[in-house]
Amino acid sequence: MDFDLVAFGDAFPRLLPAALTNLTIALVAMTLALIGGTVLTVLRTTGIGLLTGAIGVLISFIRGTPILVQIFLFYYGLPALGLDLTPIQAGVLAIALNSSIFITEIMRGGLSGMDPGPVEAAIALGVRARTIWTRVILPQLYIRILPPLVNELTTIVKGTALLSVITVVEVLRTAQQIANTTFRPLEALLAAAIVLFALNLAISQLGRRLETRFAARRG
Amino acid sequence: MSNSDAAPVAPIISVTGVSKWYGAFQVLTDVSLSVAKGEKVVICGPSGSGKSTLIRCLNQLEQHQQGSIVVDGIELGKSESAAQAVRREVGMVFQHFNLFPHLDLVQNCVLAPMSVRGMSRRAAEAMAVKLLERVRLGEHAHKYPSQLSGGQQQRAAIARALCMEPRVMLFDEPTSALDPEMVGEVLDTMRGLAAEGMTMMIVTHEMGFARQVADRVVFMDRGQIVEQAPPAAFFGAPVHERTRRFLSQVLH
Repeated sequence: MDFDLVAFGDAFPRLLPAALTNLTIALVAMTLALIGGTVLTVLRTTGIGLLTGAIGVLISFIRGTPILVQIFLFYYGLPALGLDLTPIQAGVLAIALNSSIFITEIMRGGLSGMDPGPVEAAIALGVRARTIWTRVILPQLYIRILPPLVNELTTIVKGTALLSVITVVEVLRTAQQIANTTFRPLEALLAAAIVLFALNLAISQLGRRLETRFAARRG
Repeated sequence: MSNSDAAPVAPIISVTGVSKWYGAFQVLTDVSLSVAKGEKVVICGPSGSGKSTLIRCLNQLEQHQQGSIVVDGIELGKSESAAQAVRREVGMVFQHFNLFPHLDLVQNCVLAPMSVRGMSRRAAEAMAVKLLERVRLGEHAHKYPSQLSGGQQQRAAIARALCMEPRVMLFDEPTSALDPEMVGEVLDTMRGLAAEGMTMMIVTHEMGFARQVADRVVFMDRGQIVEQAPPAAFFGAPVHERTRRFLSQVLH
């Protein structure tokens, strides 16, 4: 048994630029997922039976199937419907859809625990429903659910490694390529794990700082 | 001050034969009440008597099912736009303040003037600062609600309502959630507002305040108005047995 420190160290110069791909994919997917999750959340409060029913089916489908299958469906399945996506596009969309489902569930939980008083005050002030959503409900909600949202972002970062299977050259796939040439899979994969771990550590630290910063505004 | 039987001016609030039910339970029974411009009306009564429900009907936070409510010439209950038109003219202060927790006091104050009245940010902020100074919160203008005491939050909530330049102010138990030492500062702010001629409807248990400030005290019990009179008569010679019993419980 041996561990080649040099091979381990040599992996990083190639893995770090690849990590930028993971981070970019994660941030784009998170942005889309926040928008998607928010839209789903607002739609679910309309009380239109057909709409909330359809969203309910989508939620249980996404939660009940492996994300890897969802990624395959986007990359290998959609071309059959005439929608040809690049690996990165397919991956971003699959992760974003998956994550928006989890985010709308987080948001629903956050909404149910929110004080209705400020909304009532806004109604009494004559503020229209749309503005109440954008200026009163959603900002409070995002502040409230910041911790689970940050957690969701780290889940997304981990999910980006799955895109290696649809040929996206990110950290994991880069590590596999390194291992194929050095015959040192342990060193390359451990280095990849450390890079992804560092990324998530940075994200959760940033999340904690945001939480402190918004503490006074949680009410 | 003006009284209901003084000048033949059209009342700014006119409630006629209003009834309301929560399911099978009747919360308001044939309530009629009119308020003249500039009048200060205190509504008191035991909890569950319908007093909060009544003032919440005036800006349609609750809908009445029978009778008519006309505020500032607008008949309520016919359409959502009527409710919106009334809400522009009627400010409300709540028991639990209901400030926007994610916004500082100035931003709490400018949200409605900017989005409802289309005021520019600059004008709205100038007015917010002026009104926050008036309720003696000038140095706290950029703090968040959670950083303030209950009394300060309630004064900020009054300033926020005033930023809409309302013609009527409704107060729903504005001091009930406050620590005793903070009640005075909120009542002082309300006295100041009364002295400036604001039309006010106040649901409160503060009988001392009612005696000093009210033009008329209305006593409600079980969804009905039992008795209404100027404070001297109301406290000095209550007519109904239920009123006397209530007063003996709250006055010591």
